Amino acid sequence: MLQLDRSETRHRPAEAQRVYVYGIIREEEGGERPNVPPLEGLAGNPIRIVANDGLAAIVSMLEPRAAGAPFEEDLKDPERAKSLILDHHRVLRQIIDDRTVLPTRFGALFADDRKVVDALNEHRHGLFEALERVQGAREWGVKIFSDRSVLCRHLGEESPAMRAAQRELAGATEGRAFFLRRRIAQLSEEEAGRAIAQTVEASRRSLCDVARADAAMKLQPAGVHGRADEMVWNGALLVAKAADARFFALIGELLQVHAPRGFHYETNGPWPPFNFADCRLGVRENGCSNGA
Amino acid sequence: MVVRTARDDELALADLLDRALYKGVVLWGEATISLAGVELVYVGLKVLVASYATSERFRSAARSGAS
Repeated sequence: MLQLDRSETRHRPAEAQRVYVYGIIREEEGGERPNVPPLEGLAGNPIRIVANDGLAAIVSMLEPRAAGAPFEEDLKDPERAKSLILDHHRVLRQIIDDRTVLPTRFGALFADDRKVVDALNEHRHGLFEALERVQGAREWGVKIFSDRSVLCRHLGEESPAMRAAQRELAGATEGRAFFLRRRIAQLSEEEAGRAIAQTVEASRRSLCDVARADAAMKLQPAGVHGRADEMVWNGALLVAKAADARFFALIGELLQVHAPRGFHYETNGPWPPFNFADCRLGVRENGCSNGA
Repeated sequence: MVVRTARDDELALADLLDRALYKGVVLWGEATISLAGVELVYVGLKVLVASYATSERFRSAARSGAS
């Protein structure tokens, strides 16, 4: 671990270099000054901190090539953009186990350290509030998938309306059978939709017994998640590090309960608490919320 | 039957993009990537992600030793 002295943390960068911000931490946590591992940041530059009045930004310099205005120009090359975004995450990932971090959204560039300090001062209240919310916690992703054919088979055996239609179908004339099959298919769709919504909500509520907060992210299509079944929830949970074991035990229990009806659970992480630091500081019409 | 947990070296790029480009604190620096810029990057990367056979995983292992 590299202990950075405060006097080293403020210097004006060479001409045209800019300061890239990864995240915000408290200047002291548990009585300790910020320790930043000797990491490489974007484009291989060393990570350092810019501290001011209780808050500290995790930063590194970005060369003119990468910082050339506008920043977007440099990001038009997807491979280059991907590499920078991976760097952004990699730096935060090395820090979240030891410290409470508010991750910044990818792409925050400042002219120099002074401008970073100005931003910390300007948003001081909101940043402390957000740090308080995520204190000691990390984000885990939880995805719920549903295999509709398994669910519908199960519902066909459970639902009185569907069982009645099935029984009638056995002795029905051809015309009546056509109508009944359509009715069964429609009932099956409706009941599956209800069962999915109920299972997602029950799982979410159950996870929130252990997690501090939850947020729903947009569902991913099959081409992205790569599974044969359908994604029905793409959640993010803010979980205190001390509660990790309980959290994973709970997901195991949810799987046991809901797997017979064709539900599947996947988790990913740990992430910096991106979904719980989602406040556009300085944009008045968008207030801070507990998870998007 | 166990819950599969994707950790550090097997996280999906798509899951990172949904977070790093759309969530997190926005401290408006003078060169902060604009919302239009984010869309541009996201769309470009979606094309990149789609060009891989399945959902791409990335490595987030530490690269240490910076001087």
